[in-house]
Amino acid sequence: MSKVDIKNITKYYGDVLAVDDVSIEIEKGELIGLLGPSGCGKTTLLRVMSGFLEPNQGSIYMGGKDVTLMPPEKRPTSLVFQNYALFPHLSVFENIAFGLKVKKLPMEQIRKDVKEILEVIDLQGIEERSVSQLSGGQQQRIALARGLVMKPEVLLLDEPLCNLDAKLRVETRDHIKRIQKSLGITSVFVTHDQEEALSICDRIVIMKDGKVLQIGTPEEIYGQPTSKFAADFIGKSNLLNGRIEKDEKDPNVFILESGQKVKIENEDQYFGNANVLIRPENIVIADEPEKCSEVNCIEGEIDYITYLGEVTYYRVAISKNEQILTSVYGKSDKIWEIGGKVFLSWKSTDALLIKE
Amino acid sequence: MLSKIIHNKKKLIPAFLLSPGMIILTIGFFIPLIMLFVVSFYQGVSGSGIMVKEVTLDNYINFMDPYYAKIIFRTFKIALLTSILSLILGYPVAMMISKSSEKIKTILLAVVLTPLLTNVVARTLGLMIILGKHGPINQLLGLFNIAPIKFIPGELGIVVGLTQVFMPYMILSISGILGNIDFSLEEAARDLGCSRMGAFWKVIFPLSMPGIVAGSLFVFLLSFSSFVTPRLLGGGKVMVITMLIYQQAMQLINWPFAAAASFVLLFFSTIMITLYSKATMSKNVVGITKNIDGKSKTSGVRLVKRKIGDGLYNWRASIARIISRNARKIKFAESFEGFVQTIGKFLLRSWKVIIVLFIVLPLPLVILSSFSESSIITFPPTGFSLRWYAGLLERTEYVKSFFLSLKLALISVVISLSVGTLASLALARYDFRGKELMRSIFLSPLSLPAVIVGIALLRFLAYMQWVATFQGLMVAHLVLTTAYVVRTVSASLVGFDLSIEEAARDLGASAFYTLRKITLPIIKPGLIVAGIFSFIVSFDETTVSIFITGGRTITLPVRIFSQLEYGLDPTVTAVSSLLILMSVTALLLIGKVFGLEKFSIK
Repeated sequence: MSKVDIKNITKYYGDVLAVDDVSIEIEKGELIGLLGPSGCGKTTLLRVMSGFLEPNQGSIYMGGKDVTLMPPEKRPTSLVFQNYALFPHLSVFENIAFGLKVKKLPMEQIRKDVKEILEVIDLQGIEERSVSQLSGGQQQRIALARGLVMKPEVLLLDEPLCNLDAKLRVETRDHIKRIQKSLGITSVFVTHDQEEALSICDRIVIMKDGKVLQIGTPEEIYGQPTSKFAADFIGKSNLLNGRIEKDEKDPNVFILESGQKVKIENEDQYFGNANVLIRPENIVIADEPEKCSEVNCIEGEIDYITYLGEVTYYRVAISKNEQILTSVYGKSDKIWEIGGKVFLSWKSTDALLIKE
Repeated sequence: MLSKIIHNKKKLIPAFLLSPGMIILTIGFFIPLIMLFVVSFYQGVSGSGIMVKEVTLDNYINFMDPYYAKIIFRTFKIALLTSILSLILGYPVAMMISKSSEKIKTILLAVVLTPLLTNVVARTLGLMIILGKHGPINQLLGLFNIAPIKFIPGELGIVVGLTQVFMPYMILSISGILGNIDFSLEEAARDLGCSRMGAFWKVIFPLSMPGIVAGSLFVFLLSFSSFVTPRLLGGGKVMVITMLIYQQAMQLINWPFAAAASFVLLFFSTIMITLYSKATMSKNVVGITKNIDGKSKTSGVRLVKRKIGDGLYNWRASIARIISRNARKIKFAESFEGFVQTIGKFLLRSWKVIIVLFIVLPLPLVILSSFSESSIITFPPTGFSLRWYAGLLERTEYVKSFFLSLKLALISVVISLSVGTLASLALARYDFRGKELMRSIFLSPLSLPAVIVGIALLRFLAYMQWVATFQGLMVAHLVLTTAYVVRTVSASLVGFDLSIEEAARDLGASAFYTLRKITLPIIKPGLIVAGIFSFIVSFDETTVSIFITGGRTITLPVRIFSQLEYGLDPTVTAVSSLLILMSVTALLLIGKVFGLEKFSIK
């Protein structure tokens, strides 16, 4: 359980820049998520942390110690592989005991440790099974146990859930979170799934093209994205193009491409081209302008409906080139149809200005 | 009624497709083998060629005689040492192949495959140069003031030579398995605290076991039944079982005993082949450990086993702990460890280079020597001249042999390609009883030691009075080339999507039209490779031909072989160089048509 300090890490593959001057401070016991699309450098960064890649620049400290040039076998890290990398020729027990045997611990100790860790992951009595006889979820947990049994200071997880089906994924991620919290182990979780990151991470690092775009708690990342990319990548979003004009007396007026004006919060008096982010769930849909509950009230026509059971999405065209997505949860009193005329409204505080 | 006739007609199609191949096999393979088997129970009189047609087991019982038992033991020893040496030398190369980038992989595969496609006599000639008393190896040792090693003639030379000749099979077998191993397992092991070496021994090596077993058995089988290499590198003085067969049949003309010896050899090879096919079958179950929770084991037995295992582990672990604790006390320990690692890395790398050189070098050496001015083969060659190539044209016997081999090879290609393709179609397309048996019958000439095929054919051809005739050689070559064609074409029919043919039939094409316009064009790469293969196999065929040539019909490889039996002659280097050139061309062609990765081992 130690603090991890990533300082100015840069990694090239030949001429290709994979990680570009990344610095992250990870607190003790924190579960931090590296989130980004494939090719954003998140796995490369993880491999630099685990010691399988040497960075071209920068250094990594774990518990105050510089580990940048330490080989993987000497690092206080355990890596859980995307494909689990369980040893197919060894039994469950032998897989988990592998690292302990390398450490030359006495056998009684090994048996005890393995038993304990199997209790932690809630899989007892399968020690003698061959790993190929296990289900995907079980294999995943054994891979986790194999890493945890080493009592690492830092746990590194490389997309540990991506080979599981949707339902198991949710179960397993909650399980990982619970174990991580109960052991208080500093962890880094690589994923391209924003829902996964939002649901279990203490903080999320958004990465794109080898760079860190934003670091923050899930609430910050979702509520106050600082970039168009983060806004678009996390959750469903309406990103409207437009500008704030200086000769407009009120700096809180945002002019859409279609010329319509909406109210926003522009505290630092920014002028110029920008984007406005409005989350679908913050938009209220109504069939008459009088029913608009908030300041902004824009007229549009429904051009697409996605029904998902618990939620229904309406895409509303507010001009020829601009659509706004809004969601209605549960059973709505009113059923709208494609082509129906509706009015959308939202609070000015829910319209987030993204300067870019 | 009508449907029954159609049904019966359909049943006849595979029989019709298989029959040309069966005729060749029957004449060239089964009848000779049966005749040989019968002969092995007759009584022979050494040196006379007389056979007493009385059934006896004496020939087999004779093998209990210490002299013959010794020969079998020696053959075993040579084959075993060859397998071990091939494994030690071949493993790093296999590792290198499976871990390198596509581009380097292709180059390495080409390097490994070239010797495989080169005539065995030409290769052995290269070995004779390299292992010679004043050859490059001994010259290298001389630089370090080490006394020269007498490789040839002798057992040591045979082992080293056979290793050079058969190691490619070991490499291909292991790299095939390594290619399927997920190398993130190695990273997982290192993440759990293993060093690079530790990760290899604990994870990669055990997982590659099926490849090691298959490769070793295969090399063992090939070494056990090889003839040309032991004969030439042993200088005719090292008696192995194939040499015994040759001597008994060709020099002492004791047919019954030679026949019995052949069946002793066949007995051992059959065991090897059975083990080999079992080993290769289990290739698919890498990743499944032995079923530990089998019900047969009682918990008591398991408990005792576990206790013993734990005890052994604890004992080893405590020693390791003491060592590492004391090592830490020494200041240099850590820097020493680093030093050892750097040295180890360097040694391993140079080791790999040396092995690759060992595989390839004999061939360029032959070519190099062929341009020498001197009439004694020396290393390095002195001067430069084309006299041996020019001299070739005056040696009419070589020219004649060349044209004989060429004629044989060309006819072999035409006949075996058509006959073999028909048989492959029958085996791939139709379901009939005994299909698997049919397949193994068609492939059996490949797994039988060539010496046995040779001696059996000699017996049969003598009966037909076809010895040293063109038709005799033709039959022998067709038996072998047809098997190669069946194997290669069958392989290219395996992934064939049948619905394509059905689509053609659905669009109104007749069966024959479909075959011509759809099936054959799709398997064309396979056919081309099969054609190149049968040409090479026929042109390079040595062992079988040694038994059945003579007088005016001597093929080129046999001509070189008999020249080498008497010693090195520079003319031979020139001929061999041409043979090597031919093989390299063939390899390039195959690589172009098929891709070397798909090249399957024998």
